[in-house]
Amino acid sequence: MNKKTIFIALGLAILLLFQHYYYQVKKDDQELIVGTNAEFPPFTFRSGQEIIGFDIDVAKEVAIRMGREISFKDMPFEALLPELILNHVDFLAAGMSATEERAKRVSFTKPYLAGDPLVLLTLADIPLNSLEGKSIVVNEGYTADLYMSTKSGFDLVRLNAPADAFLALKNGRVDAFVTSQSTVRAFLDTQEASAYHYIPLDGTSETCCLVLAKNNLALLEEIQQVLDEMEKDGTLQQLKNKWKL
Amino acid sequence: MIDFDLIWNSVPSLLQGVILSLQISFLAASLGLVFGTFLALAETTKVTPLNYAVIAYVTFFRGTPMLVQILFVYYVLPQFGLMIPPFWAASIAIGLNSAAYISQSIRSGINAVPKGQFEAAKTLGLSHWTTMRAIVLPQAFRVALPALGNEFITLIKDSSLASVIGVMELSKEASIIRSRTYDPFSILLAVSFIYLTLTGVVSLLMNKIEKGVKADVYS
Repeated sequence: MNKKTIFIALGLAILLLFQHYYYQVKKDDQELIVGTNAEFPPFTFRSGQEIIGFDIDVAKEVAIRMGREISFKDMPFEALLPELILNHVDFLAAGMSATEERAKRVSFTKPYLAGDPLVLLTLADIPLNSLEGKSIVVNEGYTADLYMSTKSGFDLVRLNAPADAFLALKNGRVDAFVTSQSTVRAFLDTQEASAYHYIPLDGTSETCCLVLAKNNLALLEEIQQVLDEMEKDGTLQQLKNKWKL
Repeated sequence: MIDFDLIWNSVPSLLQGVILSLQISFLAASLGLVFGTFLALAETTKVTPLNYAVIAYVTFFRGTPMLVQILFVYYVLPQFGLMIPPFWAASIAIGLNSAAYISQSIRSGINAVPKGQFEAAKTLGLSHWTTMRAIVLPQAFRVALPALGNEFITLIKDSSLASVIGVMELSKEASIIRSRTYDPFSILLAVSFIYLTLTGVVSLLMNKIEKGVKADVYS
């Protein structure tokens, strides 16, 4: 192979890379692009190649009512916010909950899910009043993490996805896993359920909101309107029933 | 886009993370250096089974991602009754991985020592181990020094992988702050700066040591 061929091949390879970049950032205005982290059954997860779940269904219904096409981008949790702020996705549907601190930087819709209590899942049936010195796993950044971080007296381990936390519990790495009841149910469907015990924590609830960039008020208003409609005509309830929430 | 107040308020928890990151790096570096030296010695002996054992070890640890090795120690070893706490699991996994790389640097150092020195030592009646300890290894380390410096810098950055099993080192502290505030950029900037400072200090130290041993030889 002579030098010229090599240079041409290299040039083509570089062009190909740019083409890839071009299609990544190019956004069709008609299409809503939604960021998600498909590791959280029953909210957003993969079944084969397809991304499904309660949050995904809510987002799809929102798109239908807005008369827009929709596509999902699955990415690690830590990539969701940069992608949103850089405007590569229109909103996030990943079981995220609003807090005051977070609302300084992004906009949240009103919660479309509430009343899903946090539960303490154990193998050894530990009562709630004897958690002293135990080691408890939560998923980083989720409601259970925020809630358990306000308590003390036990060792709190923060892992990324529910699958990691379940594995840690199963292996005896930790004594308990605190997460939403629906997450536990989705997990127990795949397990020898009788081996596990779970107790709801009073006064807690997982909430889910869609997350938009701070400056995107027009879209926020539009989506909120659609969500309100879905609440009113019972579509949201139907979806909750479908996913047993 | 960069929230300096947030960075400032996060300094205490980030510093706690730095301490843990440095502890992991130090433990892993010590393990890597000691074990790596033994591996290099084993690989340069004339005992064939020992040579093959080292080659197998190096192939395995160099050929699988460190992330997988850490997850293996944390999640799989308990199945065999070996429950190592997360901090130690990470330090050991990173140390064992590092030993594989360090052994190769030191081996190349050993090979760089002229054969004549072995023969001279033999004529003087020195045993194999005395020759290695007193004559070959000191020179081998000097040759391997730049490579070792690289390895230590890599170690500091690799310590961030301990976050996947929940160790609260620097990058985990950062991601916890990110998950609380939903501010993706500020903390990332702060953390990059901290890692850069840590690795910068190590590379300065290694440069100093390199110059020191050179002066020792040629003056």
